[in-house]
Amino acid sequence: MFAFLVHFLVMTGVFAIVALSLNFQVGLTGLSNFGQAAFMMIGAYTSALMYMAGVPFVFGVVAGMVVSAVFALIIALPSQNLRADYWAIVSIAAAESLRLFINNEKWLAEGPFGLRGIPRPLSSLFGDYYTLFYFFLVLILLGLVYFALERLNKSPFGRVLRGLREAEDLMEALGKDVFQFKAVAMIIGGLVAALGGSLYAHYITFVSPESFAPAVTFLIWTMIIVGGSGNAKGVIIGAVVITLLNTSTRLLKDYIYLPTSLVAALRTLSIGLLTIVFVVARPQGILPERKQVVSYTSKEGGN
Amino acid sequence: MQATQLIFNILTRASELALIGLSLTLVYDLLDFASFAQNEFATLGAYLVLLFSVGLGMNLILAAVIGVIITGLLGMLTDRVIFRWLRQSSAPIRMVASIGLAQGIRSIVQVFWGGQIKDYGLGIQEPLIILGAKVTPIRVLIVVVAAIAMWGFHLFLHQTDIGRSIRATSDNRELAESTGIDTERVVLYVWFLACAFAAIGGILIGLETQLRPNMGEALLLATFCVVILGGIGNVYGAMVGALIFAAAENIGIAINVGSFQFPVKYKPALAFIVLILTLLIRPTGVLGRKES
Repeated sequence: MFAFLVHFLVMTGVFAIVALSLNFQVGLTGLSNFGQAAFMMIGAYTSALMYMAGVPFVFGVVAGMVVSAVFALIIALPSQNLRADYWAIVSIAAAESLRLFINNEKWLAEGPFGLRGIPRPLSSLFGDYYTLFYFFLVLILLGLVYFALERLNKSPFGRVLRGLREAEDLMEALGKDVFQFKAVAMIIGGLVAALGGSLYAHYITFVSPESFAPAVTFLIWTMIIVGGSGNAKGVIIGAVVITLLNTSTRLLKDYIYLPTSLVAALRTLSIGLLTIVFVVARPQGILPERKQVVSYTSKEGGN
Repeated sequence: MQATQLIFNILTRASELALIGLSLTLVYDLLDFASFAQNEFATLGAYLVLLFSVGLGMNLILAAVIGVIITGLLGMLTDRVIFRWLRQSSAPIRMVASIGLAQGIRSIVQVFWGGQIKDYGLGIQEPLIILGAKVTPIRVLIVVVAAIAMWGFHLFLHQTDIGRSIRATSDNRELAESTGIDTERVVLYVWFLACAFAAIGGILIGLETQLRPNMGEALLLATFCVVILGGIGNVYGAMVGALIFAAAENIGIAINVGSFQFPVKYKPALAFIVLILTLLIRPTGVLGRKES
């Protein structure tokens, strides 16, 4: 039970980091990125491959983040002259292309078989308490990501991003370089998602192209929708709820005797239904985004 | 490869894609969002026919008709239960709802029918030789059924009141409403038609190959590609898009210039390449008519 709890908390932390990164793009900037799993994948594969080749852990993670940022910039490019929904389709097509590439090029990362036995950093130091150590590592990184993204959200930069979400034309009329802001939002999201991906790979110790299927992107979207799009605290709550749904089968299998594939299908069904229920009945999520009033308009009593 | 063989292969593939593409383009046009669920209605339709024919022992044609009608009705039901409440939401929110629905349908299929590959039990077909090309009777049937379905839809759009009201609503919703057309009702008709067409597409795929719970999902990006290529909301565009896409795919694989051979393992990538190129060069599609 304790082992499950720690496992659940680590997975929640990892997915909360990725969900926060997607929230930065979707919830704040209004960029409908449907390819988020690709950024996780880049982080996971880069840091796993580099660590297996003997590069120190931190360098591998940073390298994954850099590659992910480049990919984010490439995906951001067509946002200049495409409608939002067309761009959303491009983002999923780009993510799937990358997955197909990793799947086909066996020389690079074992293709569909994936990378097995990814080493865990500092594993000799912590022995049996490794999962607990990893939990604290993830927790600290989640805290850093949370405060960094919240700081950006409250900054003038974040205000422009929210402006883009609400009225892109207005921001353009105010002289903002719309593409530049969107590209930076994509890059920041890409950096953070890659960090989440690396943490995932070194914890699970196995990644394959299947680990980053479109269903994973959808899982992260669900966390945002359920938790509250645009509200970082809400998104973390969303990550807790959805990860609980997604990992609980591991706990339940001791009590319920159903075939694994059936349990997996029921899990997908429940996550799909939960999303629909929230989108229809409570689109603002568990914790709705709070209106932020800019100080110089509120100080003078309304005028 | 022989030219007639190539043409038959293109026609078969295009028939299946055009029907699902038609489904997506109808919903995209009237409700203004890319629905991820249409391909799952194709899967659902195919499995319902399996239930009626193999499961309940009905005649395959009767089973197909019932399966198509039920899928259409289920489409109307999803609009009443889900999408009616999202008319004012943003397009990405409706997309997310459709992904949730797609996952729901896929897992229901998985729960009821399991993950194993199934078929309609027609056995192995003896191919006919038509103009030097080897074609199974099923593939001839697929092309004929698809052609009849589209010709029928064309007549329906132009010769019936419901068809005219669908076209009017698609052109200008406010104007249609002000002339007394009940646009909410039109939306329901469109859901029925869209999901019924998806089901026909799914059944044809099931007849040609097999039934798998992810048979519709596997064609998701190809369907998007077909629809965007033809121009969103343009039903004839979906057909042209399907032909161009199927041709690109089949000719792409047949290419064998000197030492260059197109790697078959990258066949799915063609959908992405055609999709991204279309969006960058001509986002309104080949037969596109409106850009909002």
